[in-house]
Amino acid sequence: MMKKRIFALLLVAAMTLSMTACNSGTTAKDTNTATPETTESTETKENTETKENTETKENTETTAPAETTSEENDTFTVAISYMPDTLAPHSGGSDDYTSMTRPLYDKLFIENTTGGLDYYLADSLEVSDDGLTYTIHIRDDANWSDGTPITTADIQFCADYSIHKYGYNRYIRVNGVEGSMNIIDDKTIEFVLPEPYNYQIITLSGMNVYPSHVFNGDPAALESATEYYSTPGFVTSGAYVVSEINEDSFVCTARDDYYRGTPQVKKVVMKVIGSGSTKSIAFENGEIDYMRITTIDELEKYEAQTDKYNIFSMSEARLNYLQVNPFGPANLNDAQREALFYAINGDEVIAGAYGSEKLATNPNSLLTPEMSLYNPDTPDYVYDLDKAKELAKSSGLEGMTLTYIFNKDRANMEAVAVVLQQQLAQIGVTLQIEGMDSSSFFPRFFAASSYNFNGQETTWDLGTNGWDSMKGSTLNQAYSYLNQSSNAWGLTDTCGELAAKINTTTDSEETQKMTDEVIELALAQHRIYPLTYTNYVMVSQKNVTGLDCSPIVPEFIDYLGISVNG
Amino acid sequence: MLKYCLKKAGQVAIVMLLISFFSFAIIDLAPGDISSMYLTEDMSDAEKQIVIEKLGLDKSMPEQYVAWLQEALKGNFGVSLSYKTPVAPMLTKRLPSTILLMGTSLLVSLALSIPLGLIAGYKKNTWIDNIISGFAYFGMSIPSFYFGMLMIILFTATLHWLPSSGMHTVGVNTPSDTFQHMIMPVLTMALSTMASKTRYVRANTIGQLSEEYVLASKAKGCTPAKILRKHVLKNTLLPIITILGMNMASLVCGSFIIESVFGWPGVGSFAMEAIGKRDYPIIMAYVMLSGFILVAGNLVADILYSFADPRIKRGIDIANGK
Repeated sequence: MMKKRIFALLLVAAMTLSMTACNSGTTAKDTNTATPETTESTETKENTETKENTETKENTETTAPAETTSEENDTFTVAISYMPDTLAPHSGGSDDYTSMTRPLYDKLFIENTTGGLDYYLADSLEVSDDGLTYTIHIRDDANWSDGTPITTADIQFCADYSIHKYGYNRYIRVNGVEGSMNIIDDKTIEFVLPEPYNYQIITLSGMNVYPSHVFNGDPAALESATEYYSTPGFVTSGAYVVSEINEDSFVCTARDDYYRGTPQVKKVVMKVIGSGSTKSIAFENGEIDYMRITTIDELEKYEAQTDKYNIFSMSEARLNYLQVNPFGPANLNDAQREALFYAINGDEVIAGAYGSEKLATNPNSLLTPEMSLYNPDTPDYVYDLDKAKELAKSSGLEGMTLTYIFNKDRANMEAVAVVLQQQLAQIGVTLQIEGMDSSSFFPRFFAASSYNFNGQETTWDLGTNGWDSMKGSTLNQAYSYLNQSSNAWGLTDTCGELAAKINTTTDSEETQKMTDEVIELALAQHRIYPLTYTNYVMVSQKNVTGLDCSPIVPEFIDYLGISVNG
Repeated sequence: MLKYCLKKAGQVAIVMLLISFFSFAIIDLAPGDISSMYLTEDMSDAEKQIVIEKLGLDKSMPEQYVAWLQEALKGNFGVSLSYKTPVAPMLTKRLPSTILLMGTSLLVSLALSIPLGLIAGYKKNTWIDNIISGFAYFGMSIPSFYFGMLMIILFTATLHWLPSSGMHTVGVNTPSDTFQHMIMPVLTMALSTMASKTRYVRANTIGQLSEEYVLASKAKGCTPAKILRKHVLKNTLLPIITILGMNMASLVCGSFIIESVFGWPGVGSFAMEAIGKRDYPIIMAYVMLSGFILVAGNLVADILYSFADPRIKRGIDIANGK
């Protein structure tokens, strides 16, 4: 009797599970197998036009998809790693968060990867001949999602927020001295610096513009606006507004009054997807529309299925490098450092750690090809194993054990460490590799430069780090490296002096000459070894196009170029 | 009994105080602090000092601890470094998702482990026992993240039956949709906890079946099913109360890996994210929450135990001179 009851119970349970599963299967399938309808063939061309940022209202108005396209086909689903508690423009900092809020907030302008500027809220930036005055004009048609025009009052509000938070206006401050900020009219504003400072372009391009009218000009109200920015419908300056916020996702809906035109993708869904392989499975299951790929295996796998997927590749504008720590326990001298660098085979690093030049290339400079000051003729380090062995022996490097740290949150860094370990073993150097997450890595790697010598500067000899967003017309992140505080990286003072000059010189020829000089000087000191220029490779569902229309990482700075209609 | 409860509650308070102090001390020793979120390279030393004083970082660790404790007792666990918003509402907002997931998995594991344990104990050393025991060993030994991935590969990638991640389908907010999203994480969680409970129940069942009251029941003509259900079950469940008490903490903190694998928006994944960002106020609040639930769970188990087993209550009364 008892056996029968148990058997019956098990049967009921199995049937219930089956029915539930079948039911869900239908739902999932409905979503996944929906084939996007083809829209007008002119769309692709119009996409290209919008990505050049020469957009006009007339141009983008024609990009509206055919009315017959279902709402589902106009949805672009993005995987996010966590659900943010607020979507305030000033709450983030991580690449993940930047990506999440890209559809919502526009910058004034951004530095592109060809040495120029792409304009968004602003339509011009003029720099005076003396390099002191930066005049920005905001687009006449730039507006908030509630219809209010974006004006210089909003820029003033950003400055007020900076004062509220840091105690000074960071947009006019150079070397601890503040200049002035002058509002010319509703759309024009001047930033007058106390001394020339080319880095100002980066500062201004990073400005988050806040809606002054929403907070009545009160920066304290903005600081505590968590609830406001976690409720659908808050005011945005980008192409989308948030229409739905759930526990594990939020939905951005295209604005029909966006000043640059109406996006083709009507809905962007940001959805939390589990870690590890879950994302790949979700992608292949059609739950998300694209994902980044970082290994050659993944690349080859998806390249072999071109009927199902599209591959997009763009330079990440990132330089990964190996740093020799001047405060490391081994205290390596110049000959020892030279021996190390002779032993590194850059091409082998690419082949071993990345597997293909599609994912990364061998660099020659501390600058990336996306920077206008980059010189392709900068002499690279030469691989010479025999010389490395000879130097290692004569300098006493042979037989030493060095501690090597890397950030395992960064793609391929572990593989790079393993390749370097093998290469340096050939000259009798043992690398003790320590991988750690970002939050542990940065206080250790930057112990001398940013953490006031917190004691961890003496715990490692070699480390790999990367500089991202290396684009534009300045030295970018290489500036603070070369113009080091506290002698953090062991470079001579001349490097810092030259970097400072480059940052204040307005003559472009002179700037280029000094840049070449400082890069060669820095490399000659065998403190830093440029390891890789990385590419940002993405795979998308076949119907998705335009992911590389504005090749800026974190993705996607310009949603107008993206289409989900093939 | 009241005296016993008060004594236990007092112990809980002391344990909580110790947990909070040591957690605070460990975090204080960790590299980096809140100031890194507010200081910028272009600040002068005087400006940096003002920020440090404003954050109270110029005070000693005990002073900082006392200040933190005073606020924590009022329910204020500080402001998140990464979100710049109060921690307590962020945790409480995510708590229901975790309790739903973990509570369901606890119920599922109980609902399956008790009958399986009883059957395995009753059929000791038979093929049925071997199968159930084998299943239990499998559940105990397989890592949950690995089992979770296997589930995703099977049910999402291969069969396309279930969604891989999250709690809801976007735009669908129905209980059945949530149920579908829960199936895989619940089963993954339930498997490991079910396995250990099954072994406990089995061992207790074997022990109880050799008791004289079972023999007496058999002599009265009771069926084996009735003996198991009416007599043995009650006695085998006593140790389960203790296990449940200890498992209370896992309701909140056992979900680290599962929530990450399945993208479940609960406190586990939230705490993981906070650890990654060194968001100390969130980590501190999370440690306090899980610590409190653990000791409170044990307290409740102790009290329930005395109610469930009159011998224990009697022992307490005797100790109290009654």
